[in-house]
Amino acid sequence: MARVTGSITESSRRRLSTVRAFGKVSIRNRLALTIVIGAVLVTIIDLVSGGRFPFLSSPLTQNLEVTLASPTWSHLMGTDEYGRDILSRVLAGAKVSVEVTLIVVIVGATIGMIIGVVAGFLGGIVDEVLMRLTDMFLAFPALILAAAIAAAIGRNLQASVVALTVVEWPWYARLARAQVLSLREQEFVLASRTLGASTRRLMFRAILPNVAPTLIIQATLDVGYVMLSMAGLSFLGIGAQAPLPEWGSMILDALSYQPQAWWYALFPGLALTITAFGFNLLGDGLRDWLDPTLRGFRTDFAMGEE
Amino acid sequence: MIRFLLRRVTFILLVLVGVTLITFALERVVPGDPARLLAGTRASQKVVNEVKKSLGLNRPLLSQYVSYVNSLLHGHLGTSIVTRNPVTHDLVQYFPATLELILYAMLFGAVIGIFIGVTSARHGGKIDVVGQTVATSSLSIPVFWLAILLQMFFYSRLHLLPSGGRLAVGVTPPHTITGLYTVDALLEGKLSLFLDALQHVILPALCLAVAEIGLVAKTVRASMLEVLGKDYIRSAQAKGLKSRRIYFRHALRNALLPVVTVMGLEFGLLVSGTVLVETIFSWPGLGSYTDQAINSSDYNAIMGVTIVVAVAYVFVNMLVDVLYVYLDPRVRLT
Repeated sequence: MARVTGSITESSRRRLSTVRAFGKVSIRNRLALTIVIGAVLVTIIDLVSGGRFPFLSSPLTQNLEVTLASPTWSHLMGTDEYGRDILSRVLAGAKVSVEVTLIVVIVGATIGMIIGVVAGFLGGIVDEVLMRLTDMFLAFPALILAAAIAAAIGRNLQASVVALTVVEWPWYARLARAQVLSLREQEFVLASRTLGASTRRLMFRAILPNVAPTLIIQATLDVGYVMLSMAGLSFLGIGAQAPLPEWGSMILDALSYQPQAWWYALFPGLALTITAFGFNLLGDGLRDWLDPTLRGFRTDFAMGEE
Repeated sequence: MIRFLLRRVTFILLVLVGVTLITFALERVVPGDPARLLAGTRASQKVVNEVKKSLGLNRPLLSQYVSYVNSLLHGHLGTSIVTRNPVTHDLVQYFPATLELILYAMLFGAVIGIFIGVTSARHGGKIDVVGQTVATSSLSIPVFWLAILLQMFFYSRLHLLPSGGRLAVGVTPPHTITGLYTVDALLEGKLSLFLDALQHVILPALCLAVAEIGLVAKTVRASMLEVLGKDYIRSAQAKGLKSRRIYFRHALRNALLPVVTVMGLEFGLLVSGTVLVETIFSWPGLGSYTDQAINSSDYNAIMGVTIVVAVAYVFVNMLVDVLYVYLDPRVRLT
């Protein structure tokens, strides 16, 4: 039967116990952690082993005798049109995706945070200028602007990273500014202002640390989205270029061999979906932890029926 | 109301200026010197300079920007190097197909998303877990991959739905009234034509709708949970109303308000999605036009689409804002 929760004491107690016993996390969060840690582990193995996974052929080794072979014991996910092992390419793709996404999200969030904090704290003309700048970028659907930028500055992974960062920061700037506006008048900020703290000290010592948690949650929620956008750019042919193993560009290559070589498109997409799912779950978990009102409790009303 | 509208219009004008500033800047960084390109690779520097002068590329940036905006205002977006038509002409031609796709995707997304969101909030427990998992998964699936899978399954395996295009091969499209085949076919009273067009739109629209489903479901669930905690729900319950009536008459109506806001965001997602999905389904719309432009470095076409889509996006969001004020009298007009 449904739990009757929702009272403040109950939810705060649960929050405490989450901190105390990390082993007692919900199945959902455990799944999220497993996927995320898995993706990061694969990335680390890839970096340590120099791009070659144990027991597998290198993701770039061609074997023209087994082109487009369906999955067998020697090639668990089959091979592509050059006879390359899809499993090792899918694993190597994790590195590209995780790396690129983390760079985009971290750089984008940092730039956005700084701009948002400065705009929100200084207010006036600075705020007006920075926020109108932000609105300019938000006026475009993200992927369209990213594609236009990437197509204009060059078709490679670096260009896509720049393009995705450019469309990413405005969201954080807005979020950070909104946070700052509510923090600015809080007593602890007023107190340090009275004590004679400089503007810079107020901004970066008093305000910034309080803005950061919200932005970190937003960033975690964004990882999945950025990962999909990156793959999307590669699928359009303006992200990762051959022969780099990247999930989006693998699916693009697979397109020519559908529907016969079903394994070719299936596995890279599956890897992408699972990884994005893991990060999305983790983001949800983090947000619920901070904002208990969104947890799926049933209200007293819902209890009353039946 | 007048002040509110004035503020919105000023804001939109500012944003539109911003949009042109960004696309203007992008066109400056496009690889290859346009003057060099036009004069030919063997032309001497002198000739290139003259071409530059005739194109106005030696003028100060500000005056270049003014003439750029001027030509935009006259609807000039340059010529596509692929179709050899003015980009404006191409956009007008490809637009209805994409509009049809987006409208169906919005419909599918809203219906399925609201259903999942309401069910999640209403039943809680295991059903909620399932609903939330579906919502989160739908935000994690790359649309282009899903498109390939659905096509493989419904066309190659089951032979249930067509693989792509707007109509079966050899079928004459209806006369252009709205440009939406399903609507035009109905207006002409041709039922079989309507069904054919509908069959073709289902798969691509469903793919596009996927991310929207997750977004709507999450929004509806959260706002349902919030609304259900309100006093007027308690009053309705105290009056002894049936729970079904409370959920759908009292709660859902108010819980749907945030969905209106999400719709603006969705438009951006859907347009981005068409670029990824249309090619797979050979859907002759703006999305496959953009994809083709990207693949052949057709910069005029890429920039044309970018500007037009951004302008459309700005107006959709304005519409959403106005609609919101209209729907929710509590929102102050500032």
